[in-house]
Amino acid sequence: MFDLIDFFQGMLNMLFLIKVFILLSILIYIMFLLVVVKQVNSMSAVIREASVSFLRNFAVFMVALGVLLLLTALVIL
Amino acid sequence: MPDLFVSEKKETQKDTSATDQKPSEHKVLEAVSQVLPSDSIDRKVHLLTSYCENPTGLVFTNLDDDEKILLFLRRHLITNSPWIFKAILASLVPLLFLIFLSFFGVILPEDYTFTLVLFYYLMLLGYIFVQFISWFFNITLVTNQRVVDIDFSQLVFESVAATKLPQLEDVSYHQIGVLASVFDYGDVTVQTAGKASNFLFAQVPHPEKVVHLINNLIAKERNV
Repeated sequence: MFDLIDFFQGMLNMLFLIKVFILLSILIYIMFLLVVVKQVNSMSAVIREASVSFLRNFAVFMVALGVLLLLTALVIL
Repeated sequence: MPDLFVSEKKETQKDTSATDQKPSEHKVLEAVSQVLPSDSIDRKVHLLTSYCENPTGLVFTNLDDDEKILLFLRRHLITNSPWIFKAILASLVPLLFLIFLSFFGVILPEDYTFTLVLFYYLMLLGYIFVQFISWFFNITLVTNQRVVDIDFSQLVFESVAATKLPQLEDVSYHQIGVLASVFDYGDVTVQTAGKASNFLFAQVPHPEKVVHLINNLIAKERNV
């Protein structure tokens, strides 16, 4: 009986560790995406053409997706 | 006689309506031709443009007032195929991973699987985007005064190098490989005089044309 409880506690601890790992990874990834946004903005200051604005918007969209994923992970995990 | 008179009147009415339409059509055509010059579509730089002579719709911030961009270059589009292929393969990994886990009887809770798969695909999207912008912002410009090489690689390396046309010594190109021959791309090397570093335009489309154009510019510069 105690073995079974220990097993479930171990599983819960493992899932908790996985949860923390996922959340930290998403946070690091969002920081990386912010660097991407910064780089795209700095490069678009050098070269200006119609499609650059699309890339800037897409970079921001990816950050938004990252934040959305972080919030989703916080809620469902 | 009265009938003839009437018919003449009708004809004149038709004629006037026809003459009214023609100038208006002409005006519309004129306006369109002013807005869209005949070859503007070819010269417009788009998201996937890798070679464009006398490009329009492109602004380089350090351009002088009397400077005009004559040639716009990026690596050939086909040179992106390795990372596109990698991305396609990588997109199959979660599916294979889940099959692998279920084969060994390891089943993660659904919410964890969902989050992990979403996160994986977001990372893949990030990889694709970074590869694309690395290609997109690697630009070479040839203007009527200088050659500008803008390098941007993997978010960590960024440089803008320029050399005036009189400093250019020699231009050459080489095409190596089957793909380069089939898709007509190659490396163009521009040697410069003095301490200025040489330029290498890697895997640019129509290298022969590029060399020809730069050689012409050098010749013009020397004649002046």
